[in-house]
Amino acid sequence: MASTTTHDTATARAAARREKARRAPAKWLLAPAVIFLLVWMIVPLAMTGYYSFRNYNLMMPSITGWAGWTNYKILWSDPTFWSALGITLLIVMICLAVTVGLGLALALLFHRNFVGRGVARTLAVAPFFVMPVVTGLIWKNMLFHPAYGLLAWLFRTLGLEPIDWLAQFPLTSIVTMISWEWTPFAMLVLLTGLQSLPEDQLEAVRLDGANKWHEFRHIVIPHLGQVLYVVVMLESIFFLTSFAEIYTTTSGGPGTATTNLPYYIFQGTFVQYDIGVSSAAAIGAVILANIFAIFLIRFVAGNLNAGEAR
Amino acid sequence: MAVLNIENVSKTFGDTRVLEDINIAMAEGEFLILVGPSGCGKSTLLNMIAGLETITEGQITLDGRSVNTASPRERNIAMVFQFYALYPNMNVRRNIEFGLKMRGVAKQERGATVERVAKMLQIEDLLNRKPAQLSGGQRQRVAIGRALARDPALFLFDEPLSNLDAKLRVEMRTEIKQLHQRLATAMVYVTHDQIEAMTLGDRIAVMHAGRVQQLGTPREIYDDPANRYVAGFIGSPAMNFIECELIGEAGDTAVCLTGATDEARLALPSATTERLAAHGARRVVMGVRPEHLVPAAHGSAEAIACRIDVVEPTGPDTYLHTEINAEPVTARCLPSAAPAAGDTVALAVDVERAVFFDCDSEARIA
Repeated sequence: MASTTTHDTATARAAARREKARRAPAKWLLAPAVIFLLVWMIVPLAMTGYYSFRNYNLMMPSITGWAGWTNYKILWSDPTFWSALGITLLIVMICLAVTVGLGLALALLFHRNFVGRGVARTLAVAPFFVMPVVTGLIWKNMLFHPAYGLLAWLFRTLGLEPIDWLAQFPLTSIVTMISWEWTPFAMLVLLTGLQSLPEDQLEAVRLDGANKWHEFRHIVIPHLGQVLYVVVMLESIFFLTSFAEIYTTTSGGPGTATTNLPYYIFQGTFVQYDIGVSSAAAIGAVILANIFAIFLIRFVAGNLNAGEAR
Repeated sequence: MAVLNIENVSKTFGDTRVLEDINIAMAEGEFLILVGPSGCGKSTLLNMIAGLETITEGQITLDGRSVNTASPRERNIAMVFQFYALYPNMNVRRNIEFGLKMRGVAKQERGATVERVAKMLQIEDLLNRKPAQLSGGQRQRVAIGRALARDPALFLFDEPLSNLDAKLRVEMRTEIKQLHQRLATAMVYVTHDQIEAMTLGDRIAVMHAGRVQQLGTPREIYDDPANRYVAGFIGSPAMNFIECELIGEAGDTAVCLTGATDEARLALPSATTERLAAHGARRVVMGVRPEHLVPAAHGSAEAIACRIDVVEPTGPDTYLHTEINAEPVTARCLPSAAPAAGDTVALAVDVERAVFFDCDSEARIA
């Protein structure tokens, strides 16, 4: 009796070993992705966390060592940090409203059939393929420039005083550039959403006596719900980290009028060389991004589940 | 007065003519079936009645009013779609009352209508569910409920049962028929299923290649097909078509039929022979339904000896596959009298019920 039991456990152990051996390649095949994630995400994040608790200012190399919460306290009492936080949120909100609104309007337009639609659609998508740095330079030198810019020429032609957009309306200018770049993305995603709308639902709603507005309100918008969430999630993440457009045009100015969180962190690190405080700000940015992500992912996940049941 | 009147209606898409000179007048409370194979233009015609397609030529009047230029919402029509077309974001109650809401019906009245319709279709317990939580049959019930709630002048059904499984299809078919008997509202029903057409319709329009081939009651269509196409489309198993030679003079004409071995001559009824003589052709196509091609009584003179290739029992009937004049034909017999495959059986043709078509034009000649 006892011998059979030991025999059983032995075979069970052997089976477990075989199972382990069978699964071993999976581990190795997963390794590159895991290592990539570690090196590119976890390590920098951990280092940033570590630096945020250190005295680490390149201008004061003699002061080193553990700083405790000092960096965070400095950040807390820095009005520029709070204004940067506000500006970040402002950029995200306004750009989201503009890109989704305009993107939806354009998607509805391009969903209709008209002569030259293919060319027009390609042109409308073009801004999305322009790199952020190039976007900044194009707008700064070719459009916004008070002397050489297209807008200045337009104003002069109409007999008006040209406006120095980046100096007088800095945040509006930044929002305009980012929206110009991202409206095509919203348009593309929403257009694919529109194209997947079943025709018979529209026919049914027409026979039910709906007019164009009812069609849009009761059929098109609910159908676009899921894609709208995807657009909002992806765009918020990108808008939170807007940097190149600001760096190449206003450099966060005038004053701190266009300093958002990423630019604030950049300045702290590469202008003031205070790596400790900047790391603390970066941790703040991570927390902010996570707050967004948690809400949005929940939203999207809920919607995807609802979509599966459909 | 006709509820719906379709006069000389044609439709072209670009250079393709999909509907050609359609004329149908529908009486009050009639159940009209548009039946035909895919691509025959039946759904296009339905969409034109609904106002979802424009009319190229001709006129459609609804309750005596021309609706050629009226938008769908201006026509008092409700439609049930093949893929249900329920509004996925609304629950069943809101789906049903949506049309009423769009027409500005008061909330209390809407509620009463939803209750009434739900009770009629036995979907009271589903009212708070979303379409995604319903089975196919339940969805189609809701889609019918949505049409019922509107109390329209005319119902349109676009292949409403083709997405349901066989058993459910038969159940729903009966329910739709009961519904029509109770409501007595005119209905236009598109289907490609000839059994649905035969069982549901007061009248059937058999469509093919953009034309109405025949418009008539199910019995007329079945017993008196206008041409070979209609004869072959309606009926299951399909009518047998046997090309054959006519022998003899007017008033005494027979057809030559060859089974397994010897040739048999079948004398035709005088009414048939007169019409055949008027037509003049010597070679014709004889159409015989399987139920009119049955094993002959013993010693019958006009029987054709046939070798049975396949025996197909279906339960109530057994079908025998064989050849006459080198063309495959199907005969019917009682299951108790079924021969075995390979047997030679004497088959008799009920010549009174046989129909004749022209070989080339396929038009009915007798």
